[in-house]
Amino acid sequence: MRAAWPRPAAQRVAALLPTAVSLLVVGVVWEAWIAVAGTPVYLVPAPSVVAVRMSVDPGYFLGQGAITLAEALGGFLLGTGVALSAATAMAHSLVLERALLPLAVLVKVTPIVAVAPLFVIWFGFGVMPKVLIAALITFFPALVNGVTGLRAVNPGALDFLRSVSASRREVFFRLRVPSAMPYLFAAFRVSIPLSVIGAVVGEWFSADRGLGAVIIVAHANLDTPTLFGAIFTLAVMGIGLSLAVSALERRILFWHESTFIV
Amino acid sequence: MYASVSIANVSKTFPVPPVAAPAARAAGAPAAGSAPGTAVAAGPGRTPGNRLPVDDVRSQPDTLLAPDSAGIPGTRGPGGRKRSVQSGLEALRGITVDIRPGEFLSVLGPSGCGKTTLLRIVGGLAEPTSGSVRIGDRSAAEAQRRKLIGCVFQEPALLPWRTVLDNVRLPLAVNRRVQRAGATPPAELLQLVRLAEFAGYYPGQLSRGMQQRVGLARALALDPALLLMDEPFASLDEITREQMRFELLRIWEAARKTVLFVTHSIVDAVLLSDRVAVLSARPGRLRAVVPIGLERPRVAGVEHSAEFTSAYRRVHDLVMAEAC
Repeated sequence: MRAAWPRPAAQRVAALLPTAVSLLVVGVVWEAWIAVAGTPVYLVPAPSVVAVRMSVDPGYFLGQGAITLAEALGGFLLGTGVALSAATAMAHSLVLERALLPLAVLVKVTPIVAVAPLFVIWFGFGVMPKVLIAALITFFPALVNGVTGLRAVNPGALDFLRSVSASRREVFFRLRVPSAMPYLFAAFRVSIPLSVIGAVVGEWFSADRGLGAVIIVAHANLDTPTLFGAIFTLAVMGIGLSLAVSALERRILFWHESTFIV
Repeated sequence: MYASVSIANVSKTFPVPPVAAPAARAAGAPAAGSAPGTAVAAGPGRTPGNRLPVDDVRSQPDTLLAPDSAGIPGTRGPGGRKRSVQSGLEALRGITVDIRPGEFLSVLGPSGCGKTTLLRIVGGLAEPTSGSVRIGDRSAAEAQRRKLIGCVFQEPALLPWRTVLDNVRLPLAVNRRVQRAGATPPAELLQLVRLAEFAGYYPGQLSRGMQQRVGLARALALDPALLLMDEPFASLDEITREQMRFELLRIWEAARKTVLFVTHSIVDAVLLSDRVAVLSARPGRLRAVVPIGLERPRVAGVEHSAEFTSAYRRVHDLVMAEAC
């Protein structure tokens, strides 16, 4: 499919142009507003001030960002892995689904900030509670979409595989898993930004490292340029992760209708 | 390969454990090729109606199932609980037909007469409530395990993430413990269905008719003894449909498979078949088996011949008499 509709580089750049322009306009208006209104830096810093702060010490933001990113990704992988294992079991057994789904819903409806302090008590001040909180927050989307996706198979294809006496295992890997992919990617688009939220929330409660900790410290010192630097780094991280998921989705789901819509 | 289909009764959804053991056993163990003791379900106020006017289909409506094993609405099961009407929906009743080796046999009937159910039972994808299917000297489930059956469905149901060639390879890739010696290589099958140049394409890039031809090549990949086709042209437009009929005839002449072809199209049935089995509306009962004497190979234009017209009329009148 990819080969059928190649997208020239020029067209890609053209597609990004409106985004670039709108970002530029927001930045210019923001800068002008601060200059005209004379807003003090501790309330809202101008974009130029934030840019200076970040360029003075880029290693600081990158280093702290890397810690948060590692926690978020670790949590995402753990949460998604557990969710997909549970989804596999639940997709095959109605009894298991009835037993486990209410528990999953319970986990989902409990606000993550309410549980976070508990995780610090249980798992200490290290990386562990942050990864677990990120895992908890990414668990539900992957679980629900996993169960739905593994069941959403073309009945004709299922019949055909059975007619050539495919085993349950073969049906699972050759039909159910690929059929579930569109559903899983829909879940990942939601849960990848959530994993960053989970990591930051975890850092608020206990950490001395990571962007969540940077935000808490900067907040206490009314150091808004650093605070905005951290926020900006988190935003870039979220965009990067979402783009990575989209790129992976286009590669893996090249056969799916959703990727034809440009 | 010889196939003998004898289905006494199929109740859709949940059959009750057989109570009438003698009748069930009688229907369950026929010798291959011989006409088995066909159990005909007799509901309250119904006479066993399964006498067939035409040759070759022998029915012996002498063994009766006890009403409570026949899944008749409102009867009481062994547990004494009243079954719902839903669980007793009767789909097929008293069908006995032998398919000869290399024969093209069509099952023709109105929508909802249980044609697809019949095919699923022959393909080992469903179980009859009572009765049996023998393919050669094996049961349907056994034949399926040995990969003796090829299926083509109404929807092509290809795997969209596999290329055309990989879709045709799929039956070989699955369950490798059972190997079929002498099967035609997938690439040659694609030549047979005239899609060799599309081997590397994905199903989403092909037209409906092409997808259905890939489905046919896929069904032939295991060199099946019996080819089951479930209204394979139903989702095609009329022009493609007509091309596909002759395409199928050409492929069948080349491959010479035993074919059980289910359709609601009289033209499909008459044009393609050696014999046409006409089913009645639900519960599907075998009404007649009509031999079609049209000469083979049948090529484009045969549908305008006088022989075709007269065969068409015979089948048409039988079907319409059933429909009213």
